[in-house]
Amino acid sequence: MITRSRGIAAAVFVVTVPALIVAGRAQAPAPASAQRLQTQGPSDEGIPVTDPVVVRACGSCHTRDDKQRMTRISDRRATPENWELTIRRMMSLNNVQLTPDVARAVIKSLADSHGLSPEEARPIQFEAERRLIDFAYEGDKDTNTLCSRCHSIGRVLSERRTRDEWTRLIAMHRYYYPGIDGASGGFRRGGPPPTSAALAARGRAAEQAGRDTEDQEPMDKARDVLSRNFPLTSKEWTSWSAAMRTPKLAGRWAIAGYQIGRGPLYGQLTIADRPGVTDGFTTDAKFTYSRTGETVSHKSRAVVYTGFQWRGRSADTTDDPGTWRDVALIERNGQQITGRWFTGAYDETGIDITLRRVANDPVLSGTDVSALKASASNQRVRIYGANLPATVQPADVDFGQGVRVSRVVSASPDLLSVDVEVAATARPGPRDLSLGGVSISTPLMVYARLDNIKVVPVAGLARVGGVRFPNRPEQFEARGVSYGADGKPNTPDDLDLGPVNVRWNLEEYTATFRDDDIQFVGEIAQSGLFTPNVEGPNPKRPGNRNNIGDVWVVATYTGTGADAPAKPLKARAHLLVTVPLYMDWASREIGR
Amino acid sequence: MFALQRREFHQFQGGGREFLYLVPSAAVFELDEPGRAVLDFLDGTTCSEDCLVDGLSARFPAPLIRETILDLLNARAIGLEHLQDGEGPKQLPMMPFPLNTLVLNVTNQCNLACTYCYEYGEDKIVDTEHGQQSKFMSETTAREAVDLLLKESGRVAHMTFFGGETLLNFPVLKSTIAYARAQAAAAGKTIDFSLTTNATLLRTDIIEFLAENEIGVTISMDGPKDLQNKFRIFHNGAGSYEVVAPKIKELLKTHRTRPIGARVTLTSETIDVTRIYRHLTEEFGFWEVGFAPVTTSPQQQYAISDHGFDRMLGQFRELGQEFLEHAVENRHHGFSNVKDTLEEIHKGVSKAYPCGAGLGLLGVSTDGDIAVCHRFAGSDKHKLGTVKTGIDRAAQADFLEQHHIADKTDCHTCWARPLCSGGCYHEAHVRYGTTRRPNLHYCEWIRGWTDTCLQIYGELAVRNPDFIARFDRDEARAEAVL
Amino acid sequence: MTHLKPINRKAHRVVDLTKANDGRDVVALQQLPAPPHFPLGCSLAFSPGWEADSTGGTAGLCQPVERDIFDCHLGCFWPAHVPDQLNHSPNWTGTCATAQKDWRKLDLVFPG
Repeated sequence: MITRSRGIAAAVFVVTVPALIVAGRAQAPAPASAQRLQTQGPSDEGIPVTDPVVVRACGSCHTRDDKQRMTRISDRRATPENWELTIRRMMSLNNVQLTPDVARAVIKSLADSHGLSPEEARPIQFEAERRLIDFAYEGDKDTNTLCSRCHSIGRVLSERRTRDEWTRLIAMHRYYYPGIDGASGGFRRGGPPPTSAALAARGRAAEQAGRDTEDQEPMDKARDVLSRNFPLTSKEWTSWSAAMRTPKLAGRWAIAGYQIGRGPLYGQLTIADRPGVTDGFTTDAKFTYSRTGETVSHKSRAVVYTGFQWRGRSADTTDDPGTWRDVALIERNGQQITGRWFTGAYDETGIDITLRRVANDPVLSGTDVSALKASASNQRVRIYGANLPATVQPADVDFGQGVRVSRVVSASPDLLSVDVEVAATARPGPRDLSLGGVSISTPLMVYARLDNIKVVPVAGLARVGGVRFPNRPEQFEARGVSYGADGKPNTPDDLDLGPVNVRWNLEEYTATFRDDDIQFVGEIAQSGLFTPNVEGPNPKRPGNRNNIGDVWVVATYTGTGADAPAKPLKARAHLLVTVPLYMDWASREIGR
Repeated sequence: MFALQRREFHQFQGGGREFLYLVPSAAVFELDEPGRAVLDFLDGTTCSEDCLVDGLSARFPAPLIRETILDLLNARAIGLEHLQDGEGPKQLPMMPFPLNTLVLNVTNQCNLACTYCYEYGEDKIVDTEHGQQSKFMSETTAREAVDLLLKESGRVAHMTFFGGETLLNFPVLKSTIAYARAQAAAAGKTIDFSLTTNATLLRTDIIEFLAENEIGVTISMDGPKDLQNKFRIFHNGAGSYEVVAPKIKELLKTHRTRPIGARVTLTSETIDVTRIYRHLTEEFGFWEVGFAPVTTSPQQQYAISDHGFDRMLGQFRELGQEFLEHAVENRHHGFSNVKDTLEEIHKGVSKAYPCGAGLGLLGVSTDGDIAVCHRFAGSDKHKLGTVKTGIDRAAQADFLEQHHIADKTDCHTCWARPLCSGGCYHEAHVRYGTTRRPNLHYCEWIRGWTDTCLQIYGELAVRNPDFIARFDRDEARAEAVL
Repeated sequence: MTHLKPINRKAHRVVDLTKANDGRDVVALQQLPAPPHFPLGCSLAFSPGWEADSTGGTAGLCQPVERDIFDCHLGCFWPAHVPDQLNHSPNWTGTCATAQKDWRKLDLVFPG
C-alpha cells in the first residue's frame, strides 16, 4: 500500500538557493547603487555597533551616527537564529550580496553584541531547539493569536526592540504580505483600511476615537504589548553583556540524555577548543542507550554565541539530512549544558541532552530504570555517571526513604550496578540519588501500582513525503501511570512511571462521514515509530486526495509478571498526518 | 457548571414504552424512567448537571442521574446550552452518483381519461397532445436509454416502464427487455424490470410475458366499482371497472413470480381507505396496496380539503393499526405505505432530498430527454440531458444544489424532516409553481402520519422485534446476491 | 449506553460511535470541551488551513492540497508554509501547468 522511498537520499531535492556566493566578491557591496534608508536615525537607547565587519557589510544602507549607532540594527536584539533570518531577508528582498563567510561573521557578531541574555532566551529555547511543543505567550492572548497565525510565536519572542522598531516590524509585514490586513492575517479587524474618501466621509474623529479606546486594531494592540514586554533595554541584558565571555568548556563532560521511543542514554563527551575559530569548539561523544545497550559515537563542531548559546553541527554541509545539530544553553556557572541534539528533514528526531562537567568529584547522570515498585526486592538498577568511586558499599548509595540497596553487583568509574529493595511503606514519588557526596534529582519513581498507561506525544504530527519532499515521521512512546494515593486519574499526585512496552496500532479518528484516513496515512511499527505515506494526489483515494488525515495511535499494554494488569490497558494519542512544508526556514549558517 | 438543554427529538409511545426519535440523526432509542425524568425536567428550561441531580434527588440517586445525563448527551438528546450543534453541513452527494432506476415513458398516450391525471388534467406540465413530443418512444431511443442506464448504474440496475398507458407501446417494451437483458449480461450487471398500467390492455399473452420475465407490475386502480368509475373513465365517460376487473383477476392468477401491487389515488370523493383496501386485497387478491393523495392544485374539485386530510389520516391510522396487529403475528398485510415508512425508520434515513429524483432515479421522455423523474418527462425546464448525449452533469449539480434540505428553511424546525425533507418536487411544482418549495400544505398530515408510523414501529419493537429484524435480513439477502 | 436502548440501525451506529470515543466523556462533563489542537507553527489561517482545518483535522483542507497551489497560497494565506511567489520564488510554479499532475516539479524552497 505504501511506496516506501529508500530514505531521503534517494529522493532528489532541488534547492532554490539565492545568490549567497558571489564569485570574487569578498568585500562590501558596491555603495554607489545602494539605497539609503529614509528613516529617522537610531534611537538614544540604541546599542552601538563597533565591529567593522558588520559596519562594512551593512553600512551602505544602515547609516551610523556619531555614537556608532546604526539605523535599525542598534535598536534591536535577537537570538542567533533570528539574526540569520534577518540577514537572509536582506539578501533575498533587499538585494544585499554577501559571501557566506561574511554573512556568518555578521551573524556571530550581532548575536554577541545584540543578543538575548540567558534569562530572556530560556523560555523560548524551544524555538532554536526545533521542538514541537504546545506553547503560547501567556502575557496577552490576542497578541499570541495574531502573531502565531503564520509562524511560531517563539520567533517573535526571540527578539527585543524599541517601540518604533516593533511598529516598523508590523509595517514590514503589511508591506510584504498584502493580504495580512484581511482574513488570512487579521492585522486589522475590518480588513484593509478604507480609502481616504471613505475616511473623510466617516470623519476623522471616528477613526481617532477608535484608536484611543480599548477597541484597537489587533496589530496596534500587539505593538503595544510587545513594546511594553519586550523592550530593547533590559536589566538582564545589561548585566549579561557585561559579564559575557567565551566560556571555558574544554574537558570531559558526562552525558545524560533521553530519546523518545528509545529511552535514556548515557555516556561521555569531550569538548576541545577549536583553533582559529572564535568561540569555537569540537566535541567527541560516545553514549549508550541503556535499554538496548546500543552504543553510538557522535562528533560535532560548534560555535558559542552570546557567551551561552551552544550551536553545533555534525557535518559542515547543509543539505545532508543525516546531519545532527546541537542547540544547547550553557549555564552561567559553566558546569552544565542542556539542550537538544536533533536530525531529520523536519528536525523531528531529537535527544534531550544534559551535559555535566566532569572534574575530580563524582558525577551522577541517571539510572536506566525509571520506576521502582514498592514491596519488591531484587530490582536491578544501573547508575551512570563519571568518576564514580572505585569501591562502593550498599549504604553509600542513597535513594531515600524506604529504598535500600541490598547488593552492589558491579562498580566502574562510569557505571554502578546495584540491586535494590523497596519497602511496602516506601513513599511513592520521584527520588533523589546521592553517592559520594554528590546528589541529583532523578525521574526515578517509587510507585505502588501501575494503574494505566498514556501515550506521548498526546497530539502528534507527521507529514507525508518521500517522493519529492521529505517526510516527517513521528515517534510515539507509551508511559506507565500511577494514580497515586488518591487512586484518581488526572490529579496532582499522579506519577509518570516511564516507558513501557506496548503493542501499537492505529484506529480511525472519525471526523467526517465515512472517514477512511487509516487506509492511506501510513503505518506504525511496533517500535512506536509512525512512518507516513508519500505525498502527492493519490489516484486510489476518492477525490484524488492526498494521503493525509487524522487517526488515533493506540497502545495496548498487557505487561509481564507482577505488573500484568487484570485486563489490557489501553491509551491513545491523536496523530495529524498532514501536508509537507514547501519552505524550510531552519538555520543553515549557525554553528558553521 | 454548564447549563444543559433539550435538543431536537420527537417523543412517542409504543407498546407501553417511551421512545425518542432523534433529529436530525433519525436514531430511535427506547427511554427508561430516569431518562424520561431528565427530559421532562428540562422541558422548557435549562439547568446544569448538578441542578438536575438536585431536582431529581427525590426519585433517583445522583450517580444514576449522572449516568443518564451522559447517555442523553452522547445521543445528542440533550446538549450544552452554550455549544449549539448547528444545522448539519450542506453536503452534496459525491458525483458521479450511480444511477439506480431509470423510468421510461414509453408513450404519453393513454386510452383512459382519468380526470385527475397529472399528464392530461388541467395541471399538466407538458402538453403532449399538441406539443412537439413524440407520442411513442422508438426502439432506438429505448435502447439508448438502456445503454445509458447500464453505463451509469452500479451492479444492479432497475428499469421501470411508464406512460401514458404503458401497454400501448408493448412491442417496444418487449424488445427493450430482451435487449436490456443481453446488454446487462455482457456488462456483468443485474437488471430488473417493472411497469405501471391501468390494466385495460392486459391480454393473456401479455400476462404470460410478464410472468415469464418476472416483471414487477403495479396496477393503477382506485377501488370498488363506484370509486373506480368516479374518475378512472374512458374518453366517452364510461367507467373502466368492468373492463379491468377480469383482466386483473387473470393477472393475479397467472403471474406469481413477483408480488403485484395496486396504486390508489385518493381524492376528495375517494377517500374511504379501508373500504378500498378490503376490496382490492380480498376481492382481487393484490399483495399490496399503496395510497397516494392526488397531486393537484387546490382549486380542483377533486382536491382533498383540510377536513378531508383529517379523515384520510384517521383512515390511514385505522388501516395502520390493522397492519400492526398482523405484523405482531408475523402475518402479511398489504398496506405498503406503512411498510415502506417502517423500513425507512428502521434504517434511520436522514434525507437531504425528499426522494431519489435527479440523483439515483431519472425519467426519460418519449423523445429520449432525461428528466428529473417520470413526472417531469418532456418538460424542457426540468431537463437533465438526453439519452444520446448523456446526463447533463452541470444541470444535475445545479438541481441538487438548489433542492437540498439545508436551503429549505421552513423545514428546519420540523422534527419529521429526516423522513420528509420537504416532499415531492412535482407536488410542489403543481402547488407553488416551483420545485424548490417544501410542501407546506402537507406538513400537518406528514407529521401526523409519521408519528403514527413511529408508534407502530415502537410497538413492534416491543411486541415483535423479529418483524423489524426482517428488514435487516431481507437487505442482507439482497446484498448477498450482488 | 445503559439508559437509552438503541432500536433502529442509526441508534446502533450512535452507540458504536460513543463506544469508540469512550473514556473522554466523563472528562467532557467537567471541563469545557477541548479546543482543537494545532501543532506549533501550523498556519492558523483557515480559508482553508494549510496543515489543519479549523477543527484541527484535515477534512476541511483542499483535497488534494495541490489544488491550492494555483489559488489560495497566492493570496498569501500561508506565507511561512508555501512560497507566496511575491516575495519568495516568483517562479515556483513555472514548470507546473497543472499542480495535480506536475507537483513533482515543485521545489523545496529555502527562503533568503
